Amino acid sequence: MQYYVATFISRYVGDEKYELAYDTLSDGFKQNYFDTYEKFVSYAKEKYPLSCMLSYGDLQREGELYIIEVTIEEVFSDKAFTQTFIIKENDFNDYEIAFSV
Amino acid sequence: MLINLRLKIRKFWQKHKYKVIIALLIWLIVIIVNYMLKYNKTPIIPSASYTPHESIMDTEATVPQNLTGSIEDWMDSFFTACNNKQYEEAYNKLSDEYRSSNTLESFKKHVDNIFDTNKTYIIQNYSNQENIYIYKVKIMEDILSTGLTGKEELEYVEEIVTIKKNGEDLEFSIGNKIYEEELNKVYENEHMKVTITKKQVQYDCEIYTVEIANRTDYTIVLNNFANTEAVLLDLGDVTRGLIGTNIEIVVEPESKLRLDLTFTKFFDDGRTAKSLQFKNARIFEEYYGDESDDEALRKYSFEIKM
Repeated sequence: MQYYVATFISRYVGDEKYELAYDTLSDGFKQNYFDTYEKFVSYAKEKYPLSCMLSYGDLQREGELYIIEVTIEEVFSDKAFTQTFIIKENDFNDYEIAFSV
Repeated sequence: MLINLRLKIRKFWQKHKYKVIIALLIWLIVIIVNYMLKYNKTPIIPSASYTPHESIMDTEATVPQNLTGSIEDWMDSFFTACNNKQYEEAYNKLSDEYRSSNTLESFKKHVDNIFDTNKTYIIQNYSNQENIYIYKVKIMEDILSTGLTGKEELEYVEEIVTIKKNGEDLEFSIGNKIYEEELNKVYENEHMKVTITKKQVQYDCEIYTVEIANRTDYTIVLNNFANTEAVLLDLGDVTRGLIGTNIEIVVEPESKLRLDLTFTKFFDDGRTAKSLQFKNARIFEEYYGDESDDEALRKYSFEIKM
């Protein structure tokens, strides 16, 4: 599951591939918080540094869902924050993500 | 020059032809195996799969395959009805046994208490015994839609769903009770008549409803705070004391007392209750709560076999 979170934050958002990142969000989550792509891009640009280090808390499983707390630290900076991610893996490399906003 | 080359090639072939054929065959086999491996890949599956119908308590005791579809359909329709506050529809999906001891009104309150907002659920088979399948269901907000925003940790309510296979039918109930059984086991002497009317089986305990009729002008004490071993459930290889330290069984002269006695006993432990034992029955002329055993007119023990 860490792989999916890292892909979302570092490979997609970090490389400014916001469309790919937006596509991984669950439909219900998009509806609640990012009903337009532009809202997500605006949030992602403000929230996530382009270069960061990730460290992970314990992985908790609830049925088909996984909950993990991720600490995101900006490289060469003191800035860091923690965010909870929810992941549903439908199949290998086919997953949906939500996170605490 | 060409003739020399041809002679050399012919000579080489005559000397090494078998080695060349073998090398070609090996090369061909490698190409074929490579082709097969390339186009017959084992599909990669998620490493940790969710197995809702595999018992947590005994991973080899799974729910029969032919029942899992019906169970999932029921769970879906029941919890959807609860979410939509379709109380009667949800209530009517429950067994006769559940509805005989829980009114629609009490069920409505139970639903309103849990489904204050739209909820999702996760089922997990917990324990299976004969034709009874127990599921634990976690009911929570739809965290894939909320991302747990504003929450420190996951909050959920756990509901127990008991499924009984009765012939071809499945009967569903919720709550701690697995089943109830009429017993009507009696002990009587000149002082009293003790009847175990029924027992209620829950996953982690059994509750015996006992009626005690005092036939005398004296006070009968079967249990007080001083003795934790006065009332025991005999399970064969082990006995269990009462749950709860404040159970006083005192029956006033010429009166009846009805009470529930609870003992720890796991539904799937393979044990059967053999008897209820009353180890310290005492008869007092007058009883105020602090009398010692020496002040009793009579002391004895008895048991009621199941």
